[in-house]
This record gives sequence, structure tokens and C-alpha cells, in this order.
Amino acid sequence: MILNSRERAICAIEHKEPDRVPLEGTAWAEWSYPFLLKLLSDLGLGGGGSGGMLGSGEELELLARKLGTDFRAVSMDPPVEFRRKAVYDPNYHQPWGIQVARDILEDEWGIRRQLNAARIQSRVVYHPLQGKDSLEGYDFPDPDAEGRFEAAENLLKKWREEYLVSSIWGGDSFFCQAWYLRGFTQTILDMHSNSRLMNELLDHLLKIFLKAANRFAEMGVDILAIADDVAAQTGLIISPQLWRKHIKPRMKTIIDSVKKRGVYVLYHTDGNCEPIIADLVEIGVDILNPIQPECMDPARIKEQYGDKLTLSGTISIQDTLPRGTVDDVKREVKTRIRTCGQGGGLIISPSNQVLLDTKVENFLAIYDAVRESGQYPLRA
Amino acid sequence: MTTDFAKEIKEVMTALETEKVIDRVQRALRLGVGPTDVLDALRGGVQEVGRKYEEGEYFISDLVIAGETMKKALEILKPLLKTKEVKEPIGIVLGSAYGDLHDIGKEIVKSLLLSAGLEVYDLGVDVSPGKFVEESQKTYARLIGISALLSTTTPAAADVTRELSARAVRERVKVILGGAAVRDWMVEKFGVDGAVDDAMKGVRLIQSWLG
Repeated sequence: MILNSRERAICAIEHKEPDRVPLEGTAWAEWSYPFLLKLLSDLGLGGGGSGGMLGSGEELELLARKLGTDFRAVSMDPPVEFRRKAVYDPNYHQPWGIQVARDILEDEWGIRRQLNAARIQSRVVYHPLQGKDSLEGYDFPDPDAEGRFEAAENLLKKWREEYLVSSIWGGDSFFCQAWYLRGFTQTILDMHSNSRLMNELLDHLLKIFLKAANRFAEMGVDILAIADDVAAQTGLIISPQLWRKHIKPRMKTIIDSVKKRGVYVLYHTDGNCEPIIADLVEIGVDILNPIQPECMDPARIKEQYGDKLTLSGTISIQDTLPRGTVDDVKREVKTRIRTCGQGGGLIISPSNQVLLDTKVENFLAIYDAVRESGQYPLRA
Repeated sequence: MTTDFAKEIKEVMTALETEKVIDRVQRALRLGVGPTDVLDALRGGVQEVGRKYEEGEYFISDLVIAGETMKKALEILKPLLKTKEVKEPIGIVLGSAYGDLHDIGKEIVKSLLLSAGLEVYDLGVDVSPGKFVEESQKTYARLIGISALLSTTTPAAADVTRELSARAVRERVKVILGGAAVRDWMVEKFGVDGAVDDAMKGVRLIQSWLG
């Protein structure tokens, strides 16, 4: 029996076998904008010229249809008033920002990011709370401001019958947002010393994130995506002790709230987050993304947590996609389906941003391979 | 007395108890323990933190805390060390590869190398190959550390080694490439002396070169 995308995705997340392994890549997957433009152009789908925006633009929707992805995403936008003053450039980590200098945008939190010389990546160059002794005088963004959810509501209505729709509050979560505001080293030191300022900051973030999460749940999204890069290649950036003390309970508050409305929860972190996977399962995370195979063995994650956790991503963006052949990519996809696809609980996509060193045919091979070999019941 | 203080300083550093480290350093100095002995004890603690990191007991945040604690302790020790005999520090030019803006890994390596007593010339991010080479010549640094998180930016290391060869100074400088997407085969392909995917591995390799 052929299922539609929505049915297929629900089946997989509920740990039942759908008609085939669901495909992602155009909802919560991260994009390198230059690669996206190259892909769109090669596929004859435009290439950024029509003013479309990542995540809601018609070009991305065309790509989603071309790839046959089963998920869509809506997000919390900056308020109308901010967008009036701002420019939109998807080469920045936060694409909406006020131009404060050449190649520097300031987002609605006051965080400034600068593009690199090639103008395809950005980094934080100004942390508005760096060096401050208190939060006095700092205005946090208002999640109730006008214009944040209109686009999300419209897109949700359009997509919800056919696809499983995820939502994100328009940025990163506790650890990342704290260090964008305060500075990386200072955030770790603040957490280590359990400073009052850090606790107040994280509580402010919780208020904003919780409001946005509840709003998404009320409007009927299927998945809440919480993105927080707490891990690097070989292990956690923030120790499990600090994570459990400062972040886990706050995440749990959000998860408990949206789960009352039947929303699935997806957690994204780059890198190797194995030491906290049991915690993530405990507080109700349903989907873990992107499970970079160079950092964590997806088969082992499946073996240990596969009855509770759906694996999302899993295809190598550091080795196979940039350096392998089409056959190598297809082989990896087939291995993943064989080792992680039993009983559902697997969603395939690249395991992070695909960069310009990947050939378009390698990227497309992921999707071809799932269509060729991802049918249930799986062949031995 | 020196041994007791050294042992305690090493212990509180290993336990990442920043305030206690500073307190014990000050007390040790007040009681006449030599600054080089205090420094050795601190370094012993940082080494222990590194070992725990390699064994999976500690994490990147713990390396950061150890590095920052060491910085604070060095602020107290440095004025005293200057008057004593201190070996000329070995220099390393550090930076993120051309096209790469990620600097968390670089900052951690920097902090650990400073703790180990190296002089670090930090060029920041998005550093051109020529700049790495010019800085190494200007500072007489014997080491160049290139940080590259992305698969697309790792080849910049080959440009650095080529530039060193073009200026006929390749033999004078050891080059290490570090970052998430860095693989062993890059040693040969990019002509570097070492390639590591983890900050601590990089620090260990550099220390092994220095003997």
C-alpha cells in the first residue's frame, strides 16, 4: 500500500514500518546557501533569482517536490517592524538583520554576524551581553510581536494534509543562543560557576522559547524542532553535568508542554552527543538529528535507543558526499537502511550542511537510493 | 612544603576548582614556594585535565575552564617568572583556514598551548596562506597551526605548505592541521606534518614534536 508523506512519516516516528523509509532534506535540514543555489540551478529550478526565501520560498518547495521529501517546516519570523528595517541574506546564519556595516548584519537579539571574505559563511562578531554584570537594559525579543507566525500559519494550512510539518522558533536553543549573546568562553564559565546572570538569561530564553513552542502546538504543527549544537566531532562541547544542570530541565519544561498537545519533538545537535542521548529520550525527544556517522555510529544508536528514538539524517557529509562516488553514496544509504531501518524509526537525509565540494549527483544519489532500496519490508 | 602545595595545586586544578586554584597559588607564593614550582604544578593539573578529556571523563567545556583558570593563575605568576630564568618560549602561529570562520576549536587549542608554555600568535579566522607564512617568519615561530572545521576549507593547508616551500622555509616550520573534517590522509595530500580531528590530540602531537 502506498502511503502519502504524512502517513509515511507518522508511521516511521511511531516505530512502525511504512511503505518506504521517509526522506528529509528540505524541512529541518541545514543548508549551505551556495550549494542550494548550485543544486537549484542544476535541476533547472531557479537558483535564487526569484527572491525566494529558505524554508518558505517557492524554490525550496519545488526542490522538496523534486526530491520527494516527506516533511515541511515552518518557523517563527522576526516581527514585521524588524523586517521593515532589515535585509534578508541567507548566507548569514540568521538571514534577517539590520545592516550595521559592510558584510555585518545585526539580528533582532542585537547579535552581529560578519560574512567571511568569500561571503558564504558568517560568524558572531558582537555578543550584546559580553562583559555585562546584569541583564538590566537589555531588551529581549517579544515572541508576541506582530507578524511572527502569520507565514507559519498559512504554510501549515497548505501542507498539513499531505506532509508532516515541523516548526522551529527561528534560531538556536539554550546553549547556542546564550553564547551568541554572552560569548562562548564566558557562557561556559558562567555555567560552571552557576552565576545568577546565566540562570536569569536561561530563564528569559525559556520564557521566549516556551511561548513560541506553545503557539506552534496550538496552531497544530506536528513536530517541534529544538536545535542546539552542544557537541563537536568527538564529544560534547558542554559537559553532561553542565547540560543536565542548566539545559535539560528547561528543555523538559518545553517538551512537557507541547507533548500535552501530541507534538513530536526533534532535537538537533551536530557532532557526538552520545553521553546525553539517554537523557534526551528520558525527557521525551522523539527524533534525533543529524547523527553524523563520522561522529556517532548510527547502527549503535539504533541498537541502544531504536525502540524509542527515530534517527534522522545519518548520511556522511564529511567523507562520502564530498569525496565518494554515486555508488559509494548509494552503498552508504543501503547500509543505513539495513542497519537502522528495521521497524521504522529512520528518516534519511544528509547529516548536516552539504557544501560546495559535493557533486550534485552525489547529493541526488541519496534520494535515488532510498527510492530504490528503502521499500518495506526491507530485503535482507 | 613545596611538594604538598604542588600536590594540592595539581589536585584543585584537576578538579577544575578555579577559586581554590587561585587561592592555593597565592598562598604557595606567600609561603615562599618558587613560581616555577607553582607553574609546574599547574601544568601538571592541566595535563591531568587533558588526560581525563582523552579518556572521555572530561569534555570541551572542562578544557575551556582549565585553560581560563590557567590564564588567571599566569597573571599572578608572570611578573614573578620574568625575573627568574625562564626558557625562551616556543612560538606557534595559529589561525582558522582561509574561508573558515569557526574558532571554538582554535580557541581551545590556543588556551591549552598557552598553558603548556608556548607563545601563541593568533591570527584569528579566515586567514590567508600568505599571512600564516609571513607571521611565522616575522615571529620566528617554529610551528603553524591551521584550524579547519569544514571539508571545503581543509585544502587551504596545502596552500600554506606550498607557500612555505616557495619561500624555501618549509623545513624550518612544522605545520599541523586540525578540525572536525580533518583526516589522516591529509598529511600526505596537503603536505602537512600532522592532521588531527580533536584539540587535545593536536596539543599532544605538538608536545611530542617539542620533546
